[in-house]
Amino acid sequence: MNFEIPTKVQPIHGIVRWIGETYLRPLGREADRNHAPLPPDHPFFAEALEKGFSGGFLGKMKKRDKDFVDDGRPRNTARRAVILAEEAAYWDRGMATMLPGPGLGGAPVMFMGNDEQKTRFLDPFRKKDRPRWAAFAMTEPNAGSDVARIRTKAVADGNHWVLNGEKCFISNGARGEFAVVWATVDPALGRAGHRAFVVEKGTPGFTVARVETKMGLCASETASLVFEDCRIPKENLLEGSAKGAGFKGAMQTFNMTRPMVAAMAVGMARAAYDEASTYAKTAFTGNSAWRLERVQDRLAEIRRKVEAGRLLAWKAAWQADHRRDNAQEAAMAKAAAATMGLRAASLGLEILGETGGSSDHLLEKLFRDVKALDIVEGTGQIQRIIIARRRIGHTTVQESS
Amino acid sequence: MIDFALSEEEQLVVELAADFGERHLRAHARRHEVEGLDPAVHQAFAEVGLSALAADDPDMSEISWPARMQVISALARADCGGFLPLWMKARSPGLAAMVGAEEVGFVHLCDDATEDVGWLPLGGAKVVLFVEPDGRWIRADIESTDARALGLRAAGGGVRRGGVRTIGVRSSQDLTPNVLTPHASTPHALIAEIRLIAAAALVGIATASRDYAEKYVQERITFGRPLSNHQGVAFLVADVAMAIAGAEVLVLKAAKDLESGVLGTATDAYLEAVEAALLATSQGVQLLGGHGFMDEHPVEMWMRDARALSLLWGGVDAARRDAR
Repeated sequence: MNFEIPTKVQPIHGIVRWIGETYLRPLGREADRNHAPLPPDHPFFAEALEKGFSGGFLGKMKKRDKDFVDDGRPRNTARRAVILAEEAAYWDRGMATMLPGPGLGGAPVMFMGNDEQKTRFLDPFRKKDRPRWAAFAMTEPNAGSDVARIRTKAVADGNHWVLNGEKCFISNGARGEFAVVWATVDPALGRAGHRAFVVEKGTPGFTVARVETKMGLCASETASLVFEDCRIPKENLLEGSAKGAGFKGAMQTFNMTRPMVAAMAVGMARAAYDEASTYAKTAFTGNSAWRLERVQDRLAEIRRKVEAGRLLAWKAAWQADHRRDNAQEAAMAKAAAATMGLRAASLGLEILGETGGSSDHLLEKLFRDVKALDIVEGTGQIQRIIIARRRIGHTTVQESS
Repeated sequence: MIDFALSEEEQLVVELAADFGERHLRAHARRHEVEGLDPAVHQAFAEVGLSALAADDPDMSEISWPARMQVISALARADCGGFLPLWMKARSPGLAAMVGAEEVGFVHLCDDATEDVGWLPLGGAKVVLFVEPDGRWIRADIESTDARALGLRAAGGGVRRGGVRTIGVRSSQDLTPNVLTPHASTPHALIAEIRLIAAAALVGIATASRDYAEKYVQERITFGRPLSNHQGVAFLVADVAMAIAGAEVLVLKAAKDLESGVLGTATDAYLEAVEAALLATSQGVQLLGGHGFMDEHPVEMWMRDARALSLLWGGVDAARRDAR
């Protein structure tokens, strides 16, 4: 067994730390104060692209052929990603996901797209003329956790598909070059009818209804999208999803990304620990012993839980790298780390006391930000259903009927 | 790179321990609880080489500490009450040597080595080493004038298959504590190892309870469908599984740290394992409902075991103090 961050990853880990400290933390707090994400033309994004620290540092773009072609050999993509995701989220999770790059929208193209689609949709991200983003659009107003209920409809019409429906809570939905939109070709088929389509920005019938205002993660853009008779070329249907891999493909994406979400929660909890312990070192000098002991107990609990969450994320990533089924471990890591992250921020605020209630303190922001991680990419409840399904064959009402 | 795999040899040893546990411990746990551990089990433990592993015999140096933790978990999963005297009998002399004592059958950590200590799972040990975290220690022969042996405990409590005795050392007037030299750091390694043994054993008990309850909820029908299909039950199962998974990886990491002389993480692993074991075993009883409370199922025994084991060696209070 080995629990060391490999030497090869250490330089980029150091770069992410520098980016985080120099840019992500201050810009994330600026966005939080403004209660809105930085606009796409903010100079930071062009600078990020120019300096080469776009979203690619999370491991999606650089080695796509090697990483996504299943040659049966272990890889280190997932482990590298969780290490870097933790560090980036330590500084600011909202900003970390806003770095230019295909992000979550790129993963289904990688998994389910053919070579022509990968080239057409992902190659532009290698250019440095302007920052680019992409989006992953699955959630609907009436289909959140219950993704089988998505009602955005896709109808074949000659050489086109015509999409109608709404999507909500879509990260980078407004600024994305494209959105991978999940739609059903027949609602009666349930999950079997799901297909993934690439809808490019500017396509007639594709509009951004609004950019949401949220309790936290203000640096991250979250949009609602509307598709009204939106015609896209037939070639924009991701080939893999048409071969019955629609729902499975989405879940495969989550099995890769959930350990990263877990790692992000770990990073945020670590930030909470550092903030609280720094405060405690200066604020509790000379205080009564009973108070100090309680502060120390809280710090010890955060530290322990952070380590447990990190190891769970690493284990799920290690399994992904070795092509082992990691659905249960990814769900465990994600559910446990997200809960732990909120607990860490909450305990940190208790250490700060009234000072923590001030909105200009990082811990207060972390408390609001980290809650999202128990909701995105499958709520805590969904993770528990996945775990229970694997362990005891639990079926949902829909499945049993 | 980060790697959770065991070597082939380590995997074989873990499987051997699981097999030994099933045949010699789990199958006779109820009888051992009444009659004490059969001496033939000690002999079998030595014959298959597990006592050499516990004793940290140089021939076993190829087996890493994370793998040893998995061996402990496998044995405790079969029966913690039987595992404890087997392992401690083999390992105690080595632990005692860390403070310069020898021929010890059971090592006990305590806040005050001159006070009564209550019950201990001695497993037939005649010499007990009481060690204080701050560096005092007493070697006591419980069958001579050093200590009072108050007899076998007949009922209640947990981990009593190997022979629990309620004992107390005599007052400080009768026994002069030995004091470690100020520069000695050995007790920290000793405390770390004992906490790790306890943590791995607690993970084992928790795993036993989890597996048993998971099987039960898939077979038991309520309101026309298996218990496992009720979401209240399913979420409980998931929470237990998550808690155990978290404790398990911390134990492995702490064991790896111990190999390289880093000791602090053992306490964290112990605290997490206590939480997981108390949750898993009490929910194990809960998931079986009334059946869980009866001794026709082992979950009630595991709940007692987890509670008793997590009180030993200073329990969580001492661990929380050290974790600060």
